[in-house]
Amino acid sequence: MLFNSAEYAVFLILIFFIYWFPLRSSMRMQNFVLLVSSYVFYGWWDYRFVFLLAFSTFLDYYTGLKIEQATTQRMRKAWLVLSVGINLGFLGFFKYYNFFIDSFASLLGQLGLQPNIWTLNIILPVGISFYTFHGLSYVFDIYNKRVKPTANFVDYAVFVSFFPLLVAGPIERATHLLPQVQAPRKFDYAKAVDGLRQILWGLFKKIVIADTCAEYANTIFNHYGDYNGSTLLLGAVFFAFQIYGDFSGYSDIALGSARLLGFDLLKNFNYPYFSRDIAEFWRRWHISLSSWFRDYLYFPLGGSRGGAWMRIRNTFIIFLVSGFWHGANFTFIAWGFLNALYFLPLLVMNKNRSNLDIVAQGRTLPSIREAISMLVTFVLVVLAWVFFRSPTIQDALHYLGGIFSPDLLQMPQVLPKMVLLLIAFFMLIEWIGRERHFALAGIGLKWKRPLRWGFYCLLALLILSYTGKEQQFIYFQF
Amino acid sequence: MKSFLLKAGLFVIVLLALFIICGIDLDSSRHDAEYMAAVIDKHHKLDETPGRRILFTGGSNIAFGLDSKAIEAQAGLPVINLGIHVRLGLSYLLNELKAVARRDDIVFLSLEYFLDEGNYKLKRRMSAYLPGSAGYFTKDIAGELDYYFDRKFDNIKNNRQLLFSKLTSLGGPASSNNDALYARKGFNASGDFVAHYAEPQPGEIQERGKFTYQHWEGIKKLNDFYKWAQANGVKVFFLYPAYPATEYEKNKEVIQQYHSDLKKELLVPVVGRPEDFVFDDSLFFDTIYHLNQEGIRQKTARLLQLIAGYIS
Repeated sequence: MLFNSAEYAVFLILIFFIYWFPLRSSMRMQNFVLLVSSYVFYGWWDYRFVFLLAFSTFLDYYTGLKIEQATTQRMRKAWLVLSVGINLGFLGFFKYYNFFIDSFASLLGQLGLQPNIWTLNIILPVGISFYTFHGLSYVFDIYNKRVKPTANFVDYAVFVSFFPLLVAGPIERATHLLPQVQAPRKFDYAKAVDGLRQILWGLFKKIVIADTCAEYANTIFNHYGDYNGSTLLLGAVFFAFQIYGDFSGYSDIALGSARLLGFDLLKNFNYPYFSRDIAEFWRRWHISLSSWFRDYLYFPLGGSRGGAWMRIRNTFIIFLVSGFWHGANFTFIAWGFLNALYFLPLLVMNKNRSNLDIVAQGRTLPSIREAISMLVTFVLVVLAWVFFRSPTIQDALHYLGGIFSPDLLQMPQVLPKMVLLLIAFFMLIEWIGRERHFALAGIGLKWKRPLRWGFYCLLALLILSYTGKEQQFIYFQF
Repeated sequence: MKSFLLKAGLFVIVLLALFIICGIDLDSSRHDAEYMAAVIDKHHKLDETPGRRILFTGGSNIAFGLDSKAIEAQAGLPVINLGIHVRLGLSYLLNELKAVARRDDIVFLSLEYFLDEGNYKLKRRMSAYLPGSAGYFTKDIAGELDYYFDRKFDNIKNNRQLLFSKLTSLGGPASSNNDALYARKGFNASGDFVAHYAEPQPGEIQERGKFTYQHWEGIKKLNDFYKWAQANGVKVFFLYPAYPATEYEKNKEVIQQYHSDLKKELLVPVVGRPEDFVFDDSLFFDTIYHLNQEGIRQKTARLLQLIAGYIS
């Protein structure tokens, strides 16, 4: 069930009414309804996935309790290792088995051996990387005594499988979401309206921006040999807006849906394309994953405590693992590696935390220096996306070679000005709203209702006029 | 909560009203050029052709599968190709024939395998081009509602493109070659689709999954039609569609069962066997039912051998 489908709209309305009308006085029943609806939502893709989700949920629930009950540190560690091992085992099997087998076969092939390799036709369960990380964060937090395990299985299962975040995040923490699941919820008018606005903006990002850019990005990336440098650059820019509109649009719909039900989820995007350096970009892009890796990998590895070399080593590890998390392909690892390289000068010069504020805060326009910094960062990010989008490293290198060719200064062969106009409108709204939790949150609040509703209707009509070519959310495959 | 629901409801009503207003068709002339509008020309040709005629009907297998002029030259009778789209469904095609066939006409039914009842929106759309065709299918309320919203969405998309092109004088997104190819002007005067003759093959032909055998309900409808044809002096014959060799191999058993059922139960004389219409994959254009120019030439030549005895 895609967020940008009529099925989801009906589903959400139905859950909203059941949740707030007959059940509003019973938190237990509300949680039960959330659990059942989340499993229905997940089973909509393939009912077999539900069993895997249920097993993963039970495993982390049980090991969480066992870690808490363990009387010795050794037993605590044993239960943690068991949970991590099984979780990563599942993830590794479903996501990486064929990748490792193929890579191993290729390596043996290069050594002149012809092994009889056994690959499997494995279906990747949608969202497995997300809910595995949910569960892992729970057991890690219990092990590190940041959170107490819940004895209520339904509460825990809702925390893991809550439908707005189940298939593509944000990757929640038990410290943030579990207390909300365990507390009674009252309908909050302002929160619900805000949620609807966020859903509207998310749909605009996904259907109008991402899916439209996808058409052109796909054409250019799939036939990159036919295009000149400027067209290839434009193709990469279209992909940059496709993936941003797609994933942040998804996150907005997720956060908006959760707000309708009285929950606040973690913010996942914070206007990343207005970043002034790559470190700031990574503080603003897929925040819940970056912070997950920071807390559960970077810090345990020593973080930045061991001097410059330790910091550099740990940063590279984080980016490589983050790249690999995205998919079983060397292109994702290369993408992570390139971002780590971008990061390197900032680390060496100790400037990776120099842009912590909001760009041009309180001003309408950025300074020239800020504008140039944003442009340079954006170009670096766009070039890295080429690895993310290309099917192989070779394709990515050819694509980049095509960009940096003499015909980069020629007119693009594909110039859909209407799409560029839409992107300009989108970025304008994002710029205006960059100090809010989502771009549309503050726009029009002081306008008279007919004008404000007119603006929302305009967005809704634009969305409706672009429906029909819905594409799957990119991050569902991760 | 009450206030929230009231305002949300009001917003939905305002949005729905705007949707209906913005869904008014501001550029109805564009429909004249659409692929399905070829039905107007085909019916015009039917009306203006006096005397005996040879009519071919079916889905796009026959639209993309016949050289009517070559048949005409051998038969000495005018040939009209009524094929447009498989999703118009069997009953629609048969009702169309009942409305247009005359005494002594010769009708060839070239039907895609296991042809079903098609798509309501498509049939409904045809009635916008040819009001008389509204009688070829039964209307239903759910279908009408679906059609209404479908048209509104289509009009809103088109109006948005119009608005953007006016605003920027830049035009909407360019249609793909395939969209431009599938147009009313792609048919010749006899109703054969010929626009793809000069086009390169767009890529791999679209495959179909494997057929699962089921007794075809269409046999009964064809038998009823045959009785009508007998009573009205119309000669009717059944033809198999052109089919790619690899697809045929994949579905051979099921197609042979289908053929066996037809031989046993169908009153309409069946001309040839399924394998008579199997052609090399390279002779197909974009889908498994659409022949390219050389494919059409070869199929028409084979067809002429098979039907020679029936068209004199």
